[in-house]
Amino acid sequence: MNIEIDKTTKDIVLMVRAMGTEYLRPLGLEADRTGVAIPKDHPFYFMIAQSGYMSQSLRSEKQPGEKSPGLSGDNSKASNTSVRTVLIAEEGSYWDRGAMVSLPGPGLGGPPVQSMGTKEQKERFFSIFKQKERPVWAAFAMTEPQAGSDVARIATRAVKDGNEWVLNGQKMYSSNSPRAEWVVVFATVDPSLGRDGHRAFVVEANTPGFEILRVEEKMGIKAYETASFALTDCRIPEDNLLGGHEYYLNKSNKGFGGAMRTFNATRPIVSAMGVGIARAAYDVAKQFVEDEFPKHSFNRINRIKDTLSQMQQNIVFSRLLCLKAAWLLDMGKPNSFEAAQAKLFAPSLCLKVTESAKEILGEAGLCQDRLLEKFARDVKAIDIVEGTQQIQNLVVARNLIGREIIKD
Amino acid sequence: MIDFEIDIEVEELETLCKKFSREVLLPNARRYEKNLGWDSSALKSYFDLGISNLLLTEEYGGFYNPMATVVAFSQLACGDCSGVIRYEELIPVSPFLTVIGNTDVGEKINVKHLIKSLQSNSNLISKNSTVKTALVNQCFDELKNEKVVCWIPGIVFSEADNKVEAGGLENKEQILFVAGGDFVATFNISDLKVTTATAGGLRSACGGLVEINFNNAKNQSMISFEEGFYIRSTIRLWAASMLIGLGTAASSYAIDYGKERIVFEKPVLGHQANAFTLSKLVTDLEACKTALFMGAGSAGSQLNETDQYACWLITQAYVKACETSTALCDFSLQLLGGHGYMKDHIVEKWWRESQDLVNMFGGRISAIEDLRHSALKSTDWLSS
Ligand SMILES: Cc1cc2nc3c(=O)[nH]c(=O)nc-3n(C[C@H](O)[C@H](O)[C@H](O)COP(=O)(O)OP(=O)(O)OC[C@H]3O[C@@H](n4cnc5c(N)ncnc54)[C@H](O)[C@@H]3O)c2cc1C
Repeated sequence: MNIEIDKTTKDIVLMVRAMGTEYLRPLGLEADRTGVAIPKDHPFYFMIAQSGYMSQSLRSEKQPGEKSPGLSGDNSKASNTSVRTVLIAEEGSYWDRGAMVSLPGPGLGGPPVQSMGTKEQKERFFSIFKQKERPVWAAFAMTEPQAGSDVARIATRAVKDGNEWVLNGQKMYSSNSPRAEWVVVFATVDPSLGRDGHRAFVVEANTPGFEILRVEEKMGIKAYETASFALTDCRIPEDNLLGGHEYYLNKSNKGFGGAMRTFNATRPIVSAMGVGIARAAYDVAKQFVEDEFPKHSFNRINRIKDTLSQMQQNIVFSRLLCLKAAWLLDMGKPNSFEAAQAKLFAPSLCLKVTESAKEILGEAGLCQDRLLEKFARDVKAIDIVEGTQQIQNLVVARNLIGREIIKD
Repeated sequence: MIDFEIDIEVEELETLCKKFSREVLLPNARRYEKNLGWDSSALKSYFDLGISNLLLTEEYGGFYNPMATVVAFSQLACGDCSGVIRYEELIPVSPFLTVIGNTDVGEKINVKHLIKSLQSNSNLISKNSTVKTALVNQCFDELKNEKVVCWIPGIVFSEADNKVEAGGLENKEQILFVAGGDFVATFNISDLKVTTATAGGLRSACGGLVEINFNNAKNQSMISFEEGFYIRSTIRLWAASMLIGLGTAASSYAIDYGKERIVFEKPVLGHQANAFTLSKLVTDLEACKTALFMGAGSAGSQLNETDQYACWLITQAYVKACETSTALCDFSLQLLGGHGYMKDHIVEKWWRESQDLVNMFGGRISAIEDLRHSALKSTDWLSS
């Protein structure tokens, strides 16, 4: 066991912190005020591209004996970056989760390409993130009007026609999709097969038949766009089937397996974003108490200290669960149970932290310059995305009790 | 005899408020939120309901009916809670007026005159159906000229706690009422140091923290703890009824949605985990509601033992409603999944309002302090 963070990761976190004060927080607040996402040609994004940030979450192929970044210690078997990504996600979201998610890079589109893509596909789709001239994005689209948690119900059809796939259907709530260079789209080749019929495709933005329908109006995290899009006779090359035809012959890769592996990677990251927001809420409350309460009665101060200490506990426990799930992934070990536990634990307690902070500030907590009202709205989304709280309960319960007893 | 029945007149008022809330406010709630205000026709209908006098004692021309207040505002909150808070001037200031009416402060302010101007504010709006929202501001200007106030009682619990949570601080010309543990005081808002006062999450409300220096008090009077508790509890009654309204509205909405939306071959609420969690939260809210109704139903303004007990019950209901209503609104939003997070569904607005309402009007912390104060007193009427 070792809680230390390696120097490179620390440096990146410090860089994100500097970027946070100067850009993420102000841009996030501005987007919240206007309800409009940060424009994609904002100079900040060009600066990010030039910094090489877009490629930082891309894992290099495993090199024997290579050390894992992130928490230091004996991790010579590992070669990837989940722990680091978790720490960066927490720090960025401390400043503004919406602005953090809006940053150029593969985003949620990265993990499926990483876990399912062939070497050639990774090379092809990730290469755009290695250049530094202009900001570029990718996106992920599973959710449909009638299928969110219950992905077996997805109705977007993929039909093979010669050396192309033809996609038809509608996706919704796909984050960053209006500005993405490509979107990973899950579709079914045969709805009667349920999850086994699922395939993942990369749809490039300029493909005819790919059309953004509308950008949603969200309760919070307004710095990035979440949108619905249609696929109408959208023809994509056969090479854009992630993993290629052979990948799906392996039973464990069938359909949903790839998406599930994606979630195992993204759940700790998204949960860590909640930790970042909670930490920011805690800091606001702590500062407020330091500024405003020196003259308060002993009883009241003690009660507030109890609340602050409970908030600290929620933050630190949540963070550790996220880090553990990410570390297991870095070690190449199964982590679906731990990833679901992190996602079950962190979001609701992080919301609780923001509520406690608001309680400490009282009416002053409602004021926008005190940020807390926004933090609460932003953190709520985390209980929904990447599998809702109920879905995490399902995964955890199945792991504990068994799939034969805990049905859907 | 113990009686849980609600008067027929109160039920009729509830029906009226429900109709107004569902038919006028709710369909326009998004627009009102955007414009930070209602149309003149909605304002007229609101004041025509005649509910502003509900917490004013007969001595000052009111109807004094806490129970009617609870049912009316539970219904109105789900229509547009922010707007109700913005426009309702008399309800929250009523318990103050009752208590200070006979004190030096009351005499100096001329409470009767003050009430009249607050009432004419609503009458003016309701009589002239063609007025625009701007006229409301004009009304506020009139109030300003009268040097009348502002409504939210700040909460000060001990002399050492010199920070007061307050709303309505944007108008520097107005007066702030402060109800302490054992005193009431009035201040010119312009004399106060306001730590923060900007637009809040409940969009129309304006809250902040002011520093009170008692040497700057315009007027100050000692009152008993019971009187202070009465003021604070009555405001909490108002807030608790709105919290209960929001929780009830959100859960009904989620039930309708959760019966239709299919996930994993069953309706969302066909999954027992969801149904049980919802059932538990709705039951918790019912407990708050029962306590609030009983408190409101037995509350009087005489400050006798029963009234004090009612105040205690109301405060208990308020503290529990803060926790339960936010949890219920949260779970209701959650039951809609990603759809609940989008502005297409009103449950998102109720979620925000419940989150913010718990930190307004007397604040949870001060309510908990009040309950601490009575923790060692026997409040259980069966045991005494
Ligand atoms: C801000 C935001 C960004 C998003 N970004 C993306 C994105 O980039 N890409 C993408 O594909 N999607 C995205 N989503 C969609 C998100 O993943 C879905 O909203 C989520 O999976 C839930 O699906 P749903 O909204 O259809 O809810 P539903 O699946 O309809 O769920 C309704 C309710 O039923 C519950 N439920 C479901 N199954 C069960 C069960 N077995 N037992 C008990 N309860 C159950 C759910 O927890 C929920 O409470 C985003 C959503 C939001 C809010």
